[in-house]
Amino acid sequence: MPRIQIDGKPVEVPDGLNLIEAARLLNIEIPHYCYHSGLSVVGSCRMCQIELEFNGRKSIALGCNTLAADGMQITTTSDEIRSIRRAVLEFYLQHHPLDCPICDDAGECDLQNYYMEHGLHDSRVDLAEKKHKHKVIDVGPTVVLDSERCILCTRCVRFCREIVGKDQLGVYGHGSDAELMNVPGTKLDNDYAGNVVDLCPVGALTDKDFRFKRRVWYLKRTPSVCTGCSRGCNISIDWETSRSYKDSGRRIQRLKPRYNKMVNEWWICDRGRYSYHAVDAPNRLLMPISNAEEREHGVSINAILARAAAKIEAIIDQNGSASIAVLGSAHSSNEDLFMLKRLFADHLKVQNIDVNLPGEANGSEDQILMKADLAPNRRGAQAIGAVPWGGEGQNGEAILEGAREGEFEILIIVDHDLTQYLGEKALHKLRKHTGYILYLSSHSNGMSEIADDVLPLAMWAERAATYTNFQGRIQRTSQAFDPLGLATPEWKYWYELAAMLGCKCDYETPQEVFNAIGEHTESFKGLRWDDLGDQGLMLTDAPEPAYRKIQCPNPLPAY
Amino acid sequence: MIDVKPVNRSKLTIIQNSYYPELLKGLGVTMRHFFGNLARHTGRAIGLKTKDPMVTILYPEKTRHIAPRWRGRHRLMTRPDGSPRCVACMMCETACPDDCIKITAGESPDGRIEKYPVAFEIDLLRCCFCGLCVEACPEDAIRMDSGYVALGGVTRSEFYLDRDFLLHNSEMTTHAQFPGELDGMVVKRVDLSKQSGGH
Ligand code: SF4
Ligand code: SF4
Ligand code: SF4
Ligand code: SF4
Repeated sequence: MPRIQIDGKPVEVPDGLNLIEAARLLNIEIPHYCYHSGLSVVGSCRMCQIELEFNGRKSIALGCNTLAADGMQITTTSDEIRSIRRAVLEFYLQHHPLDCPICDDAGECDLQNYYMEHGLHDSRVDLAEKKHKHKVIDVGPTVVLDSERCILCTRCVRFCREIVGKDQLGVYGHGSDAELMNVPGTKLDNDYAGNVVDLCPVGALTDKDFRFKRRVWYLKRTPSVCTGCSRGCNISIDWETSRSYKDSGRRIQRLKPRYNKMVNEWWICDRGRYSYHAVDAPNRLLMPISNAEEREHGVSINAILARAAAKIEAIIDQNGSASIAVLGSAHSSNEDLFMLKRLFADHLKVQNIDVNLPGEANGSEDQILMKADLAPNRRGAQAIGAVPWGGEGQNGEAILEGAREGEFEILIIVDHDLTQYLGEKALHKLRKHTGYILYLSSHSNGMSEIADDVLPLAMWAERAATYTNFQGRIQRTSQAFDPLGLATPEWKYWYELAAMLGCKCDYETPQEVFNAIGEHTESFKGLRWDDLGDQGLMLTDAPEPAYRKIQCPNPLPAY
Repeated sequence: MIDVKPVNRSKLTIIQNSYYPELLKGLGVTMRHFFGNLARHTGRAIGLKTKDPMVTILYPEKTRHIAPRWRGRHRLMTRPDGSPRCVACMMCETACPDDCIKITAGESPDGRIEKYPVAFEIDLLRCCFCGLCVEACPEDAIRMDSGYVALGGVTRSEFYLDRDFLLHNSEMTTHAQFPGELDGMVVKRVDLSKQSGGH
């Protein structure tokens, strides 16, 4: 563990750390462009130069490719360093278009920020002499390149080669003619293409999905977790609700990856990145629907819950709990599933509870981040015990089978659109034989048409919750904005229903529900909401996985 | 902690409370101006050098002098080819303290310009005519020197100015009217409802 001094402050840093990272430990930022913690070091941008005193010799060194060694003394801001930075910036801005007002990156651009911090020089280049390069280049299905703004840091090139293992971007030409381009014959079409936009320190690479939609200073940021698949990558939701006249009122503007060493490091996949469109989709359910009677007039949530409670009570009195089946969802949060289990398994003794259906939609899987299981919380459902129990409980497949044969008087379904699983005939039969179907969903679909009562669910950005990823890591999401319409988090419905059915539980907030999970569930023993932090915690019975660098198995070398 | 500053309101004296003395005082001011002005006008008429008398401007046929930097109704500037000069950077939208500018940006059909306003709307009813939008614009694309300062309408929608109205607006007045030409200029009564396509 080398001991070094940065700006006079002593610090002990782990072995093999470079000076940029070492300074970060002291919250000192050494400006840089080409260096990125997740990529190899090329040392080409020359921005990170610092004064280094080592073994009695003074020199100017690069922060990115100098490893901390015992006894180093580093100065990050001296007059000389300042003048070096100003000179480097002057080169970068020599032919830069400086079209910040129309540049989507303005506000989060390192060139802008460093110029304001370290440059503040007047240009010595006449406007007419500025070199012009290509603008608005379509480098891939999701990304646009403005090569005039590119500062040739090659972060994007290295990302494609080292993390995704594909050679799709490259720098061509020499000197001031050098330009970033697609590798001939390729497009930037890998599953992680969106990350190059986050990586790019300037506004050269912009996301078609976000381009021109909002200025970045309008956005508010809420930490969350991607619910696109069972990995649960950490993300930030960038949202804005005060300009609802734009883009038909969509509230989430973009998702950005959030660092989590053990889950996704700095990256997310494009499937997750663009998954937020579902949150403001036109087919969101905003109101409870009752297909049985009041379709025309509307119905209140309480009326539906009261009816459901009455029916459940009556059926249990008549036929016992075996004629009730509950099909939860692995898309629900831990809190939802806990309340579901509490109410149906513990209180009503319903044994036919499951979240899994054979043939649920799967996505593609790779060895970087993406998992085939698109449900974010299957592990959590297992751990909480939203499973068939008591020996006679039927699993999802059997419930589906039984429902078709009219085995159940009451079917309670969350999220699963059975019309995707059953043919028209089978559906007709199911509908005829089942006395009452209560369906909870965030979107309207075939199932919401045929269920008796439908309750609208709030989605992940609209609520605080926890999810357990495939490794067993429990992670928190936060509420960014209020749910659309009357949509409500699932656990609240179970909570209300439980109160009507005489099951006492005193939870007002998801935090309290989670703490209750920690009290009542074996694999969550002792966990509390506040302890989860922004990086999550493992289930008590899941081993902490070994660190693995997030990258493809066969990366290409930097160059 | 927010400091609270107590304001002492003095009680009305008996004389003030009895109303009539104050009424007469006020009438006195009016009369002083009336007779003073009468004297100045009469003096002028018979060739004496008196102070400038007050005149009544025959509004709305005539208006007062309007300074060139007077902030009137907005207009959007055009390029020589008639396309909007605005690049939809939303600086004005950001600067506006009243949130009355609504811009939707789009990819410009002109390859050399990246962005242009697909929609640009100003809600004059919210506008406080502060001029910050004009200050903020890096392209000199929005100005408030259209010369229209007397704005009236009977429906709210007449005050929602859309992009095409704002662009058209700039053709109706030119820079040549400044400076000083608005002095005594006949106020144009613009029928907003016809142009903004409101209703
Ligand atoms: S990349 Fe940065 S400096 Fe360049 S135009 Fe965009 S915001 Fe301005
Ligand atoms: S496009 Fe951005 S990330 Fe790629 S080389 Fe240019 S500046 Fe760097
Ligand atoms: S004048 Fe002021 S209030 Fe009116 S649009 Fe411009 S910035 Fe907004
Ligand atoms: S500041 Fe000027 S260029 Fe930018 S959006 Fe407003 S009018 Fe257009």
